[in-house]
Amino acid sequence: MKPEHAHRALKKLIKSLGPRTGRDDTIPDVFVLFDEAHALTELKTHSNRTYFIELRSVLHDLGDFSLFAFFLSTTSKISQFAMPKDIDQSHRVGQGVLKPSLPFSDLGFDHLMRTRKIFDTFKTIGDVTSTECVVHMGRPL
Amino acid sequence: MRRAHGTSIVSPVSRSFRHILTFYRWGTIYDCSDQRNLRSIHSLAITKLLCADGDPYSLQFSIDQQCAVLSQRLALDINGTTYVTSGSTSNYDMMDKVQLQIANHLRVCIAIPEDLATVRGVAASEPILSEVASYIMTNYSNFNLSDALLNVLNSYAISHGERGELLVAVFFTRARDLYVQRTHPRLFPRVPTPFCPIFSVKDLLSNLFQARSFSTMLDSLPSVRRADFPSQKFGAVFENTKMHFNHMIQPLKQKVVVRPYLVAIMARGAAALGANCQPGYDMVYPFLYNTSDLVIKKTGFIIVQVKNHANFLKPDPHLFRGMDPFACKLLDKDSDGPDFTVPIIRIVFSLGGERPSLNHITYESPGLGAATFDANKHPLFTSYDFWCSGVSPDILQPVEGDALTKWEILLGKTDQWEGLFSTSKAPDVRRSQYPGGGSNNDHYDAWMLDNIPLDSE
Repeated sequence: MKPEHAHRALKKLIKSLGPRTGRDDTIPDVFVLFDEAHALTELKTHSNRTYFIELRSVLHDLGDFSLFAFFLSTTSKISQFAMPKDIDQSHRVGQGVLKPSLPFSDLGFDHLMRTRKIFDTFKTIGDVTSTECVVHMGRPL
Repeated sequence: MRRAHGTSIVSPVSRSFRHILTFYRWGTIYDCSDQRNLRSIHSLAITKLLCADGDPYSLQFSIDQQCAVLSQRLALDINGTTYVTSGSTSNYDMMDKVQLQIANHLRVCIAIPEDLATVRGVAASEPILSEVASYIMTNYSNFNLSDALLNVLNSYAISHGERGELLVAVFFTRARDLYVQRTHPRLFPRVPTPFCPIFSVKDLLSNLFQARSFSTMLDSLPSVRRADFPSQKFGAVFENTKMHFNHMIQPLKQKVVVRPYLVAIMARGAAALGANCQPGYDMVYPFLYNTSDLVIKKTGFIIVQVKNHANFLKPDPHLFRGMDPFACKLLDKDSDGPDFTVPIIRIVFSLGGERPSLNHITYESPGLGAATFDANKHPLFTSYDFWCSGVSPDILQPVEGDALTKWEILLGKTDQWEGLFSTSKAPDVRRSQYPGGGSNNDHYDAWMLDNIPLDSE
């Protein structure tokens, strides 16, 4: 797909959303979510660039539009998406012209304990060793 | 999340259920499913921790998997940049290892610096993972504890502790697993479903020490005694105690470790390592005394201090005075002093002791074992004190006879700096480049006339 195709498609999408009414103008019109994004970190055939690098370049070209892209992954290394500038494949990133966003990893812990806290719901050593308590401690996803 | 809180899952083997297993974690799956799926949660936790499918019992553990398992028990910090004795030593290699543990082995990312160069990950307290790690260490015949620890310490920049604290934490962890293995072979799942075992102080220590040493403990009277505490033997006093721990937490600040904190982390199944430069002790294991309720005033602890080399073939009572729970700030004299009737245990491990032994400590006067007294000069606490010397299968059950050499190697690795100097072809020359850096004379010979009498560890 040529870059101008992506431009046209995004323009068409934003137009179809209709006019903004009563919303904060700092919120983008379009959010794009790439789930299981580690699949994009494979190298393109006959290239030393990954699909993610290419996609990042395209998204940068769409920078004038009201667009924000998320990349989600639970099984990838952070460096596959956000690497130190001296090893980033982008010339502009390496020179400090462009600065990648910092990955977001502060998802929190023990969300499922908020309605069943220690000393409130679970009060004995038998309670806290039960499956009911143990499985609710920790990460949500 | 609407699915998690809304419709129930019809079949545990349905495609939709397997899809949910991929994304959601333990609590969500538990809330959505029925009792038959508890084993799925257990299996999922193992799969995620090891990042491995297939028959787990035939798994040949990689070093990364060994690190993952041990990290969930011992709170291993792999973020350091200290010297690694084998393999790669570049910062990028170390960063890559941390990121691999985050990506594949459930280490939690807690900091990403702006330069993206050094990502920090921690083995956060997550009791289910610690319990399955215990299950792996106990039931998977290809997991060898001493081998795994040696591999991980050789491959990751982990602090062993200057005096062997990590080894003693391993011994306590293994003792707990031995108890579970011998008495709860099929703990999970059961209805009602305790996920983790409860055990007593005697259960733990009877699996830490060999029978002969443990009988010494059972017959011991208090080393330090409150005026209102009866002079009873250890075996009777600690009969009705309850413990719950399957992992360690490394607190970041010294003053965090007080008795209410210990009750809180016990609820997560944790014991506490001493914070950096913690005075008086290296680890604390809390227990409930004569109750099953999580009550602060009914909580006692096992206080542990570790020494590497046997400076004192004869146990030193001054060490125990420094382990006074009030002096260590585990307790507050004003609020806890008047009625701290829960007995405690204090153990010093002198790992480099030449003659393996376990000795019950007694004092010629109470003041030698305590530092805090009431108005009548009586100690404010009751303690049973012991000195354990050496790393030997004759004393310690976790030290299996055929692995003794490996434990001795691990003990030798506690002095990382010495390892750094001794690998030189001219270690004396290398030490001279660090004047005053240690107790070895090579740090002084070049610039000082007479050697000062250093108290070496």
